[in-house]
This record gives sequence, C-alpha cells and structure tokens, in this order.
Amino acid sequence: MSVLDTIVEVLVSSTSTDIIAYVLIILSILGAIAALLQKDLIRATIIVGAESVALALIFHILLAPDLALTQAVVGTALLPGVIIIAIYKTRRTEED
Amino acid sequence: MSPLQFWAYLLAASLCAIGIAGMLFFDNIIKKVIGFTLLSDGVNVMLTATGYLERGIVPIVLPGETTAEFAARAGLVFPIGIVLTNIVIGVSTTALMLALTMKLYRKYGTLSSSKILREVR
Repeated sequence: MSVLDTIVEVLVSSTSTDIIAYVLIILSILGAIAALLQKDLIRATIIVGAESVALALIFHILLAPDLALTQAVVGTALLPGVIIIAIYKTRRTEED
Repeated sequence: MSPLQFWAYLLAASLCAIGIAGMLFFDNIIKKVIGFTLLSDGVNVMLTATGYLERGIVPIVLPGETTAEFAARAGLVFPIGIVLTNIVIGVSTTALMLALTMKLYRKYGTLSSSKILREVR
C-alpha cells in the first residue's frame, strides 16, 4: 500500500515530460530483455531497432538533441541493416 | 541529483547488466553481438545523464542571451561530444564483429560458439 502511495505521489509531483521519460525507460528495459529472449534472430534485430527509438527520445529529454538525431539514424537503420545482412549470409534461427 | 537523472542512471545500469548477461550466457554469436550493442547503449546513456541539468536548456546560444545566463542554465556539452564519438565507434566495431562472424560461419558451418570451440580443440 505504501509503495503504491509513493508511486502515485511521484507521478503527481512530476511534469508530463518526466512521465513520458519514465514510460520510455521502462519500454527500453523491456525491449532489451525481449530482444535477447527471442529465438528468431530477425525478430530480435527488429526489437533492438525499436528499443533504439525509445533510447533516442530519452537522449532528447536528457538535453542532447544531436545525440537523439544520430541515435535515431544509426540505431534504427544502419545497425539492424548490418545485422540483417549478416543473418542472411549465415543462418536465421538459433540452433540447439 | 534530480529524479529523472536517477532513473536514467538506473536504465544505464540495467542495460549494461542485460548486455553483459547476453554476452556471457547466450550461445549464439549474433546474440552476443546484440548484447554488445546493448552494453554500448548503456554506457552512452550513463555519460549523457551526467550532463543533464534540472530545468536546463539545450546548449545552443540564442541571440540576445549573455554568456553568464547561458552558462548558468545550459546542460553540459562535453559528455555529448564523447557520446557522439562513441555511437559511431560502436557501430563500426559491431560491423567488424559481424564480418568476423560471417567468416567463422563460412569456415565451421555453425553459429554456436560452443560447437566452434569444440571444433577448434
């Protein structure tokens, strides 16, 4: 009960930008865990790209908009593209 | 330390922990590369959260603003420069690791690191 009261107090006392930042932080932790637990490697790569979008918005909230632009381009297009090329050259699913 | 900065440090710590766990406990080599990417992201978030100021502004000088006002309110510039370099270096390191992964697959025919180690011995 007291934990719930503390959470409600934090949410009431913070601004809307802070609430967006908390949601993005939780999303990117969940995305990182989900990317590692996938068996299909292409699906894991796409989840890493989505987690990178949340990370770019967190960079923007942390007063670094140029980092947000770089991370959005690099983490969404370049890095999954390179990993997908490597997956097509090798093997798509994990072996036991 | 403002609450947002605290949560950003917590995000950095969990990303680093998840990345190291992915590099240690997963057998597939591409999973290890993804874990390395997550570790690099965690380090970037930690360095960026160092430069955050509560109720601060983006470090760009607007016209009609004196230097003293700007220096009192702007976030720090130095961590941004480091992290901008680190993002680019992380991508090129990941590309090199993936190229070596493709060479390993061409030689051994598998992506499992334990099978490759058994072949080498």
